[in-house]
Amino acid sequence: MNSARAWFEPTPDGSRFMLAHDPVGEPRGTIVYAPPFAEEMNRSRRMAAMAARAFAQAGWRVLMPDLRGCGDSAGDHGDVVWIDWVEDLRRVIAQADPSRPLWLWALRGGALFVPAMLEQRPDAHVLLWHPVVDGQQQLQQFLRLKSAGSVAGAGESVDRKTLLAQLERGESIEVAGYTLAPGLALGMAAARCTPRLKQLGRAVWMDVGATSSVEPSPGTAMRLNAWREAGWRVEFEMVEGLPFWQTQEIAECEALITHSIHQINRELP
Amino acid sequence: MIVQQQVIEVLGTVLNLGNRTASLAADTPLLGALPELDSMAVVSLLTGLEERFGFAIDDDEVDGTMFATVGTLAQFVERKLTQ
Repeated sequence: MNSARAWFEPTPDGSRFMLAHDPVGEPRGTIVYAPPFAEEMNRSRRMAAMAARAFAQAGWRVLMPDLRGCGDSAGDHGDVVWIDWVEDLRRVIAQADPSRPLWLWALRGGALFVPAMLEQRPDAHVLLWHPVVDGQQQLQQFLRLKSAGSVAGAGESVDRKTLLAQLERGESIEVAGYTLAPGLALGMAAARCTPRLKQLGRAVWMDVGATSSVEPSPGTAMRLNAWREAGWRVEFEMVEGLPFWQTQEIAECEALITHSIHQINRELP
Repeated sequence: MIVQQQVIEVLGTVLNLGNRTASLAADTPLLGALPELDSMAVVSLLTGLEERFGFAIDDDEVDGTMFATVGTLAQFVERKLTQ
């Protein structure tokens, strides 16, 4: 049976919690997980853990960091700036065996870190799970939790213009229990999951939806185009299941895991 | 396809209603009646409507009354489309 190990990685600004799932025997390679943002990370924790165990069982070493200010890592969420998270993930990649394949596995907003991660390992393969490709959109949706929150009984609304003005004045804001510093918001707003380098590895993009399909939704088709226009070949698949990063009831999507294992273990001609 | 039907499709997708989508009608209550409709779901719904219909919803347009029923939500969208 494969095993899981946890430890605290020292960094210049405190420790980072790291979880590694190791396979039995020699690993096929490493998978580094780039987690989603805020509440999506919480809601998808169980699914991510399930997937990591399954990937290890399929022969891969899986590294799952808690980023600065998240989970068991040091730091307050309110002190985080975007580059902290980029550096955290680069540090994890540096631990991957350079002589074996590396998959960058990003769920939702984790995808925003992929271009920076690829700069560190341009030969890495990319596995995107229902990615957020536009950091500005992610920020807007997050701010909306506060501007539309009162509708769902989540406290008094503050409109996005006010929240953005606060950030622009250099003030941190509080949304849905998370403190967001200007340096985090600004960095996020500028982040895009579009490739900046030439493609060396594979790119697999999996969306979760009402039915399985090889055709993306119109929104995703547009976003896929950006990759294709950058000269990348992206293997797309829609898998049937619930958006487990969003559902109130903890949900899982086993099909996403089995389809992913099929993809990462596939020998290409 | 009429606006209400498109709105029902967005609701079904965003809230993952599955088979229950078919039972949505103009007088089906939303806010307060659907447990899935928490603040994250409200945000996803607003984004889903924006993507489906190609408009932007300002913060000051959003209030609880638009989410009262499927019908009130469809009316909101119809008004936005004629603006």
